[in-house]
Amino acid sequence: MGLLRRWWIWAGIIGLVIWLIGSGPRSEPPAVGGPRTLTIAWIPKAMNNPIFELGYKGAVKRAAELSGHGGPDVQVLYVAPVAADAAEQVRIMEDVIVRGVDAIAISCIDPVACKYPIDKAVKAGIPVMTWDSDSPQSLRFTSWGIDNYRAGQVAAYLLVRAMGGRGKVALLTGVPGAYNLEERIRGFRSLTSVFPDIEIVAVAVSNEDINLGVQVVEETMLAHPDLNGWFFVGMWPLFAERGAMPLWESAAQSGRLKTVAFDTLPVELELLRDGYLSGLVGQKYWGWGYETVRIIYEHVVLGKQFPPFLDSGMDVVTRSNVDAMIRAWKTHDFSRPLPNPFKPDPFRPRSYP
Amino acid sequence: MVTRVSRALRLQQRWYRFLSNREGVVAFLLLLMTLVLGTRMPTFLSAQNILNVARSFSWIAVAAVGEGVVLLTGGIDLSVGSTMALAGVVAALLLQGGTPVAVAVFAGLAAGLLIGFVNGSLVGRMGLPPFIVTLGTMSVARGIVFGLTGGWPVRDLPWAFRVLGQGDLPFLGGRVPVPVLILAVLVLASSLLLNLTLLGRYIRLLPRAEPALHLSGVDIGGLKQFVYTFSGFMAAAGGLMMTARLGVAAPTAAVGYEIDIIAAAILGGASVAHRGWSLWGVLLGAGLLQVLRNGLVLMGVHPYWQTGVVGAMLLAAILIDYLVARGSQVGE
Amino acid sequence: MMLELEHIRKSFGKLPVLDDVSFSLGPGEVVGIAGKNGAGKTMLLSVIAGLEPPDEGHIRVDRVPLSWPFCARALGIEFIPQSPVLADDLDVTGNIFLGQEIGWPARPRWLRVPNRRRMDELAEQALATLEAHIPSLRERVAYLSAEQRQLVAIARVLIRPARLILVDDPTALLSTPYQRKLLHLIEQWRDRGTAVLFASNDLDHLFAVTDRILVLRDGRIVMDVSTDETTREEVVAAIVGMRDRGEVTPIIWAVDSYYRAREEAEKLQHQQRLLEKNLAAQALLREQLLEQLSLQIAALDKANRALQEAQRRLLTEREQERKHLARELHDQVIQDLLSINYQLEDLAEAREVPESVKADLARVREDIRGLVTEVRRICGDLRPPTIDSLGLGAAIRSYAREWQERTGIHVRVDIEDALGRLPEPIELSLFRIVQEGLNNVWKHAQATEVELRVYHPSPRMIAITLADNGQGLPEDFDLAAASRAGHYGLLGISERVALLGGRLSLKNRPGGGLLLHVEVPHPRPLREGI
Repeated sequence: MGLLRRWWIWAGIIGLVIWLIGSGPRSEPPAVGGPRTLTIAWIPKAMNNPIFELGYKGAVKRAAELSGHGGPDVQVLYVAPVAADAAEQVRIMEDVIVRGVDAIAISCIDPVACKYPIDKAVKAGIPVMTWDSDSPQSLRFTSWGIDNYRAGQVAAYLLVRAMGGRGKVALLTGVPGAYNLEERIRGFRSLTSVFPDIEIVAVAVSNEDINLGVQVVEETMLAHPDLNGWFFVGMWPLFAERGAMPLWESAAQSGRLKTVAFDTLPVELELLRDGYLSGLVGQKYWGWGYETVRIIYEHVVLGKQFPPFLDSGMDVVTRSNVDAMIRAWKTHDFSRPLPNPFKPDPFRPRSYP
Repeated sequence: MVTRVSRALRLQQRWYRFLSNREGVVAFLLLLMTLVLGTRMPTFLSAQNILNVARSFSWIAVAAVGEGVVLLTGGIDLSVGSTMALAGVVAALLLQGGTPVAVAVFAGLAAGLLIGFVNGSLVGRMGLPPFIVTLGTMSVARGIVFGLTGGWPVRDLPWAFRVLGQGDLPFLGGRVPVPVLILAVLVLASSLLLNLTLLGRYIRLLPRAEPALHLSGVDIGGLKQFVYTFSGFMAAAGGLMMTARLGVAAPTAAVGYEIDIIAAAILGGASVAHRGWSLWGVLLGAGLLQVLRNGLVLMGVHPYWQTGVVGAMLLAAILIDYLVARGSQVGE
Repeated sequence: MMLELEHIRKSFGKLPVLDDVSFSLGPGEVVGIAGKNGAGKTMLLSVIAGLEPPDEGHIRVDRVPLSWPFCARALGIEFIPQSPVLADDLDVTGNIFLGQEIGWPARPRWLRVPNRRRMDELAEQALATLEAHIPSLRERVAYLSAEQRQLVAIARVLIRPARLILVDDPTALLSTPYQRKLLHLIEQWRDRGTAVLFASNDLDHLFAVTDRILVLRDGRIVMDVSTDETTREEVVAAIVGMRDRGEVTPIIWAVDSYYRAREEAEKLQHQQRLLEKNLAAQALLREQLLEQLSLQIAALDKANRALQEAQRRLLTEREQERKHLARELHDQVIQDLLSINYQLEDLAEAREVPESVKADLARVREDIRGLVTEVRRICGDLRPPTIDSLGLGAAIRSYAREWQERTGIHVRVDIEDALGRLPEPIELSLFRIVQEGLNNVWKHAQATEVELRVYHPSPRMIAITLADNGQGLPEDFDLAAASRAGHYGLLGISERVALLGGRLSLKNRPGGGLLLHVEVPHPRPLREGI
């Protein structure tokens, strides 16, 4: 009796979990048998990060553009682990290989964990490329992404210019040791070290958590009341509503404190427009989908070869071009290039009153 | 020789007695740390910093009180972090839809109660292991949060709601953050419930006198059900306070907070092994963790070391419980 | 019927713990449950207390079927477990009222704030009823002795009227006065209409208070019998599982050593209890004792069943014969003698009879009157005249007086006031035992003084002691040898005791003389004057 009841509960729980997993990823079934269909599996790191949605939209847009011109129809299969879990991503890769797609575009959670399934796919005749996050040791035919070291240098350039070449700087990173974040910091330091009057006084850790980010920013502000610059290597504390970081906000508004942050999400664009931030360096989220689909199409259908690394470039946003970026987010159309961020000089009015 | 041994024994006994008074030890450490940090870092004792620490400690403490009661009964609730996020997201989505603040807050609390009730029913009524059950509900709640938000943070919350986390009230010439007041009210109510009523009496007896309670016709499944529901409620309250403070309900909020919350509760002495448990111990434990973290940031200790220090603290607390339990056995 | 069990079955894996147990219980009924350790007593009570769900079967209380786990207390069922199950961290009052706390508000119960002072008062009363000595109501029960803890567990039952009380042999942890107290409580509960299920290994306790005895063996009810209609031997046989109940009835001299063994065993058991109150060790010892006893019984009894039966028939028939003979003598011979006497008197009154003959006649009539007295005495021996009308006590007193006059040996008689009326065969046998005992003293002891006591050492057990100041038994005395030598006095006594299922002991007193002690079980006596 008791056993039976227990059995049903377990069955229920397992059923629920299966339902949740099954209903999670939105995946269009691959068109069956059509020789004139190119199915691309587009695999981001996780479901739970909204910027991947943007990449997916780009991928779908490019797929629609490429289809119906006499060439094969392009289908995009969007699958991802719910949370960023390397093992889960490997499993998903293997599923996709078994399912049979024509190409795979993946953002690797872990470059080493990724190598095995990528090689397996390539050996099965499925070309693979990476975007955003690479697995350089694997057999992928190319990688499209930002050069984090250079992006860090660009951020440093923005901050140094905004600060007028002197002052104390603090860094906020996510999880210490994450490769892309460390690269950005390395790039940042390589440039700031050139300026003798720029001093990095603190490195704070947010663990990629909004609440903790807000706390450590405020605490660092207390510990260093004479701080002149912040480099947020990720956007974490900026997600919080205004009023959450009173010390930072008042210092930023007084013009004493300059902040440069990574990523170009709408929240940050608004803060930039309102004068809290001096500049943003962002990845080309849209291009993650829009460009990778193009590259794969050209590689598979047209037989074009690519170098092992493709620099995606980056979006640099300042007061000069922020409105164009805001517009692009509203319309979800990032196909037009951004205006030059340094013309007119965004730092002049505040730096030299 | 004999006297030396007996003196050593007596010293050891006294030492164990001191250690076994967990509130005392934690309060002593808290005081010590405040003194050291206060003298070395003038900013530590600034009003701004104290308010900051009090504010960010309040929701961890609220959730830790609920978690402490669960730990006390020999269970564990891993779903507190997800429940915090769920409560915040539910309230935030309703607020965006124009729902009055009171209704949204109530709905957020109801979401926490629901998660807790499911935990309690599966553990108390069906007898499933709490670790597995709450691990499951942790994922389920997190999944619901992602499903509801589509992965995007919910923003633009009205001031009437944010005041619950960001507001200050004048109090005795100074200012007191609203979340700290909420914490005080919740702790006082919980303390009355746990110390005066039969419910509290039965819960405190549960870990060591389950057969006697069973024989006395006390509904033990119901007790467990209540304990988890209580934990869910407190986690939801903490989640709402945190959401109000940040002004944004992020689907990734409070990921991994269950560790901090459990650590605070264990530091405060909430474990089956430790006998003298109280809400104040849990408050002190949460406070100690927060001050420790704050102090490390202010002193500019490299971030790599911070997690390690907290972990070491937790291990020390568990080790002390073990030593005291063994020491009192030797003594008796 | 208040409580009904139907086909209760419970097993751990393949091992049956309860196997098709069915019985029912009415209000005010005291039912004893006997059985070896592991026979399923505790499991049975746990099932009725709602703690353990059975695999099959139903329980109905007031015809309402229950499903497990249920709250027994809500149905008025209280449970005293074998060893106290208490909350060590609570004090005495807290434990007595655990689950029944008094306080405000009444509803919802979980939000109730307990009223300490009121609970302390009631706890004090309950403990006073038990005459328990507990240092303070504020003492944590963890610091109490095992006996005090058991008393607290019993006090838990006293604070609320119950309809059924399950008592799972809590006496192991109690000293004798508190054991008595518990038995007394059970009787009080019965008088109040509370039903009691009393699981115990102590036959004295079971026979003292129960109306019915159930014997469990390997999870089955192997015996369900009214206490008045059974004997210890039958119960022991059922407990250890002899195949044929008839085999068990013990036979005379074999029985004597059996009882000696049992007495030793019980003494050991008692000492064991006093020495250490460790339940587990005791259970093991009991097990071993019962095992030994069963082996002994089996060996002893197999041989002599037929003889035993014949003996019983013989005695009964002899008693019948004597009754008949006495009536015959009384109604026939004495009446005839008296009528001859009257005829002779009429004859002597006649004028024509010469004086010398008259004198002869007067002598003859004198002889006849002497004869009548003698015949009356024989009648009395054959069938004590007072026993049917006035009962055992009066009969023994009158016989002792008469015997003292006849033998010149001083008899001090001490008979308990409220002996009550026992069934006729028992009263008669006890009388015969006294008779034979006294005659034995007169014939062999060369005593000048005898002390005779009749009393109840425990409920449903009557004892006779006969102590003289004579020469006592020879050192190498044994019953079998005495019977071969043709001395049947003590042998007769031992026969009768055996047939009544009692026990006999013969001992030389330290100051010289013999002490004869007989204990015989009997059903609940009818109270005189009620």
